[in-house]
Amino acid sequence: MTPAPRQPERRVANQGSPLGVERRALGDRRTENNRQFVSFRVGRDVLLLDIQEVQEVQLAPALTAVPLASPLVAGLINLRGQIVPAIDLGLAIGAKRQPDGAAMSVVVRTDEGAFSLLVDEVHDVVEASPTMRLPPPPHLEAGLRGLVSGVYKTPESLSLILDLAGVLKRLEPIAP
Amino acid sequence: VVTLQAYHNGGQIVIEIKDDGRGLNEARIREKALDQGIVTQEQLRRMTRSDLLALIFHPGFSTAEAVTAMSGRGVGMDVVKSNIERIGGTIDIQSEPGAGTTIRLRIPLTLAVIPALVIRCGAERFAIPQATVLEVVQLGSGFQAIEQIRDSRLYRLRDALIPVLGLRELLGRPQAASARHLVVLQVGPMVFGLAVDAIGDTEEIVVKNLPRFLQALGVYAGVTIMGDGRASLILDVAGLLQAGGLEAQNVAEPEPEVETEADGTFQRMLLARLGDRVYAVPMGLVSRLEEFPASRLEQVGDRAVLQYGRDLLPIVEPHAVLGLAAPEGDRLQVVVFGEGKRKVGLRVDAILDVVEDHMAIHPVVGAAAVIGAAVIHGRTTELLDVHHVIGQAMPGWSPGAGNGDGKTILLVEDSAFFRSLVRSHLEGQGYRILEAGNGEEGLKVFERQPVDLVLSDIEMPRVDGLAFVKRLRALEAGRRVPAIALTSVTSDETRQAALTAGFDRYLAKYDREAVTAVLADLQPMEELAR
Repeated sequence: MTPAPRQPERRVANQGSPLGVERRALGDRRTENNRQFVSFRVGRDVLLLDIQEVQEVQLAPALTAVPLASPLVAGLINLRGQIVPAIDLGLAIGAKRQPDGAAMSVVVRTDEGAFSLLVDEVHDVVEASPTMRLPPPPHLEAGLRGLVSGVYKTPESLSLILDLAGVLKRLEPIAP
Repeated sequence: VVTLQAYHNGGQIVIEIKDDGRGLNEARIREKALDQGIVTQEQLRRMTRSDLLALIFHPGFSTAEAVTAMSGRGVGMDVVKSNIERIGGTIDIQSEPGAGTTIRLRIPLTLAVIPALVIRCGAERFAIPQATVLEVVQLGSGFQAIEQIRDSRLYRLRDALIPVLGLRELLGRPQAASARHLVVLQVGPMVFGLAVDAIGDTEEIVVKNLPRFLQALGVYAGVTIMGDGRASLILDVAGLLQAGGLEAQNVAEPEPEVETEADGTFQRMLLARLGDRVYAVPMGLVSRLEEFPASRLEQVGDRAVLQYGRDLLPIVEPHAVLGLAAPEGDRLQVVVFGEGKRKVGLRVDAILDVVEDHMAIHPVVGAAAVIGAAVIHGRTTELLDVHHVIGQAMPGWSPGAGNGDGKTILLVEDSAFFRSLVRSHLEGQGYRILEAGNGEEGLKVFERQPVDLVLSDIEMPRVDGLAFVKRLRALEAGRRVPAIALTSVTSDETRQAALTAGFDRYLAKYDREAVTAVLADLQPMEELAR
């Protein structure tokens, strides 16, 4: 079914305090062109996803393993009757995820259907001005190459913008 | 008040959404449909009430005064309708002005729901479509075990040796303690066993599509959601066969053909090495494959024997007959032939493989210990004449009680697998076999060439066994030929129906010893018939 006109800002913001999601501006300037991002942590990396790509955030659900699939496929989840593959984002970007696994699932919409990205922690919804966006640094470590479409730099931190298409490209099954 | 109700009705799920509002505004629908040019005045006049209500599903149709963020574009109902129709469902609307509206969605159940056997592999559950499951047998202590020959594993299922695949190996899971169950599966004519950790229930499952990149793995047919809300993968049985290196033989069994000697027939062959040569033996002749320490070999008179259960198993070394050097080594690889007290072990240097394929057997003239040759894995392989080789060492030996004396049997059976099984068993007893894939072909073969005996399956496409035997009995030549029904359906009614239709005997598929006994028993009848 075609989704109702999307208003993702409100939807994610409505996830409310249990997730610690709040609005925060990256930098001080607020302009019409500001984009919103969901910020989350995988291992020690802080990553951003364009909020337009995020469908919802939930606590990590029960996983059904898929033998023979790429190790990046952590399993399948039942999202209200819809079968959604879950990707171990830590493994995908070469970051060690917390072993105790109080993980969260960020459900994203792609041309290939919905995917769940397993991450350690979902932080905020942040707003950022396009002028602060930098291209991915050339010396990006190998694990991240092709997975980052840009960088936001703030005085206190550096956030990488995740390139979803790049993540999906790594899902080729290992078995022919 | 909006009431939501869902129920099963005639293979469909019906979802009823009902309100007690004022009903659809028919006048407004008429007006809007005219306004938007969806219908003409003329069409409108001829429309039934339900046709008129159905206009609300028309793309772009809306009775809303203004377009808002939520509604008014005329998209919603159209999307609902096309999605329901895409999965083979229907939608209809009933409306009583002032009394309310009822929307009824009907979604077919059969498209999406299949019975499946749930099995376990470690902590994971998988579903296997019940349609491919023939039976489940128990393994483990006290039960018959899987036999291992080099890299291939086999299980002796009554009189058939079937190849075995392990689900853990196929799915790349670590090998655990031995599997406890063997699920016997059939894909086309191919029957094989799948060793699994544990068996669950049979459940009706709703089949959901796999994400595309996982379909490419080839071993999953889909995914379903179990009662506890967890997803479970549905195994693709044909895909497992392929993953296990056992290509399904013509999975969608093609039009059965009358197979003449020039055509290839579906054969299962044991490949064994003798000296530096590879020989093939029809699997239907083989009762067992064994390995013994050479120290167990004993000498009784001039014959080598082994203690084998309560019997003594004579061991024949075919090497001298074939002009090869005597085998050495401290392990005996033995192929066992024959039934009961007639068992004989043929010592080979190595048991190599069991192959299944369509292969043409070409007669070979002048070679004493070889009955023919077939191309197997691209190599011409000689078929060992088991009777000759064993007969040299033990004159007069035959694997069963009966002896065919070159009599011709017409075998009417739609499964290539069973045809090859029966064929190799009976050819081993000296019968000549003509094959037909259904009753119609059986009659054609019979008209061309009279036979001494007819063996026929009951359930077959086109002309089944009962119709076949009736028409056979109507033929001058077919009136008195002994006919035996060979079937997997063993109820009293089918037995009675088979005998009434004209069969002389009725046997379960496939009890080798009973078939041998009945064939021996029918000999006097045949003599009477002449």
